[in-house]
Amino acid sequence: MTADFSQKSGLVKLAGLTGAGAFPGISEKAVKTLETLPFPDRKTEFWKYSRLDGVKSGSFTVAGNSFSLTEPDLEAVRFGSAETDRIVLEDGRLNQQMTAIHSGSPVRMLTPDQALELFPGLADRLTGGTAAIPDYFAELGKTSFSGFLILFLPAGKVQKRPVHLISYTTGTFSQPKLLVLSGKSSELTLIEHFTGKSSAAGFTNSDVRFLTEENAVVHHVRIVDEPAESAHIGRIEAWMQTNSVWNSRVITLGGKMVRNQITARLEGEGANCRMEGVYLATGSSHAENITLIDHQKPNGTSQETFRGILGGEATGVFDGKIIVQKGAQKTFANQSNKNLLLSDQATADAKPQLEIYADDVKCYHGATVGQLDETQLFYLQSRGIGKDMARALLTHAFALDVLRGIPVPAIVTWLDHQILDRLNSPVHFGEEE
Amino acid sequence: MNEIEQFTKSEYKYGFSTDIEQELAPKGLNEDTVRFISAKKEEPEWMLEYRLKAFRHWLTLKEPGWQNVTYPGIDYQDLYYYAAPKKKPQLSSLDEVDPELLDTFAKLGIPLEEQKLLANVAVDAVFDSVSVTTTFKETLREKGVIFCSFSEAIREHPDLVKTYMGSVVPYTDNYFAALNAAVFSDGSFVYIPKGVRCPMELSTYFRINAENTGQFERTLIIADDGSYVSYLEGCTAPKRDENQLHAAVVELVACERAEIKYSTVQNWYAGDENGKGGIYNFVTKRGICKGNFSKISWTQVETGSAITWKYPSCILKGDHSVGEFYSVAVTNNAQQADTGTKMIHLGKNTRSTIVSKGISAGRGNQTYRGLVKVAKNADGARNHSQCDSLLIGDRCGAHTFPYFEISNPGARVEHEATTSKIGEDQLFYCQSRGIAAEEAVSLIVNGYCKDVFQELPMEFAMEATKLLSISLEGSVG
Repeated sequence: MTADFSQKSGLVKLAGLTGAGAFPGISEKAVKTLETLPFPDRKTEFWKYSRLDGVKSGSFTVAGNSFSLTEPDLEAVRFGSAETDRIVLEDGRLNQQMTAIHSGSPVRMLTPDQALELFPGLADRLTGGTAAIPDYFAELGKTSFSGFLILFLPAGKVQKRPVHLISYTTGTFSQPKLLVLSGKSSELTLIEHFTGKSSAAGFTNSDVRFLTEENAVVHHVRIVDEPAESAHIGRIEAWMQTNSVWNSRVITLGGKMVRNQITARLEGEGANCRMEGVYLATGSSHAENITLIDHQKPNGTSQETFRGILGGEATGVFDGKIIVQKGAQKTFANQSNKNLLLSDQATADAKPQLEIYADDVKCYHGATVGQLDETQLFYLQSRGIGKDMARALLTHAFALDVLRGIPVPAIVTWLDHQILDRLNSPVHFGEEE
Repeated sequence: MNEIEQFTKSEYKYGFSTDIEQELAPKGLNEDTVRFISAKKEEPEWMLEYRLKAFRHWLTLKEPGWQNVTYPGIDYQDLYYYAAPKKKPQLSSLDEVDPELLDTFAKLGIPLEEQKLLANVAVDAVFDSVSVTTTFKETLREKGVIFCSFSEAIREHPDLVKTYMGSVVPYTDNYFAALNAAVFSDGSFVYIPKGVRCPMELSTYFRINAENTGQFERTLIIADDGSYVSYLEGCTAPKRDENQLHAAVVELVACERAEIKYSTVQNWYAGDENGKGGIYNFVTKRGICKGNFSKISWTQVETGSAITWKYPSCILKGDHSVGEFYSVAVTNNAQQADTGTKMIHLGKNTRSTIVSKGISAGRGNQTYRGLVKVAKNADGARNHSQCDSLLIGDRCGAHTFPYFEISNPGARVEHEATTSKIGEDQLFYCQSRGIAAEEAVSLIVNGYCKDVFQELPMEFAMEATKLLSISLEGSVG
């Protein structure tokens, strides 16, 4: 079975594979929409800076029913000695055998029917397309619900161990789906980790939704580190109720083409959102963050920080929009995007946007593109630190704004090492030493 | 704060129209219209060919839809594409100009005689589409400066026009540029020879007059090596109920070490309180810093028009060239604006500065949209952009959509934007010092726009300050 985007008929066949019992008709409707939608190209504003050629011309294998992961495969993605509850998705399907949740942990997995019973209105949220222009890959995502995972944290509970969700690709086409339901005044730390091993080009089209009820707190970390030839389009959306907190950090480390579409909807008063990210792209890869923070009610705050580190011939994109709706008075929104170009061939595209319909608000955004400071490099070298290491240190420091906010120290350390390792090599600077 | 509400409700002061016999092209747009315009203007064959090429290209284009403004569709077949006061014999002095026409200018506050004497400004008054009179020609001629209407330039300086027209804004550039290239009526042409510092500020007063006449001017300014020119463009238009389309093209060419300063004060009819009527201002303005060390500076104060949609841009091709953009845009009542700039850095060590101040009141909506592009070879490029929005009232909107495309690691690009309202504490402070609320608002807003106003030539800065107060009258409450 293969997924081939150059031929529409192939996609329809693919969709026929699975149905979504709890959401009758959704896949069929998505297939119909897909038939009318053209494959996105750069003429569409939403895809202006995207590089979808690899996906369009690619032909991807669809995973079968068997699992092949073993413990050593996951060794590389362990965060030191940190205790986590581990959930493993292999090519978008839940691998029960590798999944281990501590018996004392309050977090539960629900079936779609259970979730719908607990949270009325959820079906509308999941099936309804809110976008004025249908998103091709979002529709594609609706065609298959085979690995739909729902995590639920009951009201008042605190999940002490971080939940480590490993989404592992073996170079296939997969559409992992996750829904996180946080009850009132609960607290959850979730690390989504997209990784894998393959020399073949895979394509992951993922969807994650968060519903944070009143006073709930969610710390979300996503690490995208898929094999060098793979493509990933991921949609993250949070529906934030009154006084809830959603802190999201999306760290893009690897993949040929990575596009993170991150949306926070501050639906209740006084919601507080932190949306941050680091995108590290080298070689000929492309990393893209499309963000939207939608302030719908008064007294909301949002703080958005994205740092791009681009070497080789890589391209990095930041397209961030903040909307303050009519009546969302006393909103405070701050957005910052900084990009570091490490080589002559790297490109950074930024499009920070404010769309404001309320007058009693304070909104700022700032964007910069630049290179490492020669005097700082010189200082470090004069202290006996090699040029590559000096550059790696300064570059790493550039990402610290985002990294140091992650609440689990073991993950911060793990990420520090990953980033330093990847930077401490002359190839990323596009130069012969 | 009732004063402030009154403050915004001031009527358009320049709403009147003049009865002068007009010669109109038949309504609608086809090749015959293009030929008619060209024939009326007694243009050479090459010009007609150019127009027709542009027209055929226009037919293949679709009206763009990405802008953040909405308006009912324009029926391009329901417009007049040519309106000119009936041709009179060539005039040698102002006395021979139609007195009614002179009266119109007087109402607009540009008594030509007086300006000639006092302000030392050469005024090329464009009444609808045809240049009626040009002053100070002699003084300029001594210096070798050419300042004339576009039609005259086509007749007298065909080589210059052929070389430069469409070199910055080709007719293939966009929908409205193609339309303009096909049917442009007239406009201004300026050529500053090598090493000449233009002895006076050049100014043109545009005025849209005939009902249902889209006005399509074309301005071309060429500053040869080492020259300098400051050009002022000011606009007012009579009150009309039907929307009027204004799709102009402005091209600037700055050669080595040349500097062009282009200032605009735009106060066209914005429509009534509910957005009925008013001008659609869809203009393509672009300059190229062709030579090394050249400089182009755009300054605009946009208070009028129902819809303003334009991006005065700079292509920084020469090494060490400089581009600047200073803008104040005010939207009140139902006005909409989607404006900003493009700075395209191609040469080495090029610099650009963007300062945009948006003021949104009533139900006005405005967008800053700008592009800063640094090409691969533009080593040492620098850009700083600052876009601030001020919101007055809770029904207006302010949006900022900057784009950055950076392909050179040596580039340093910075962008800052803020959106806020007038601080209660600032208002209170002023009031506690005995300044009335309305005056305080005017004071604060003018302070907020200072960075831009100080870039304007003196008389223009005065006018802009006044305009700002008038257009914001009654908006704070």
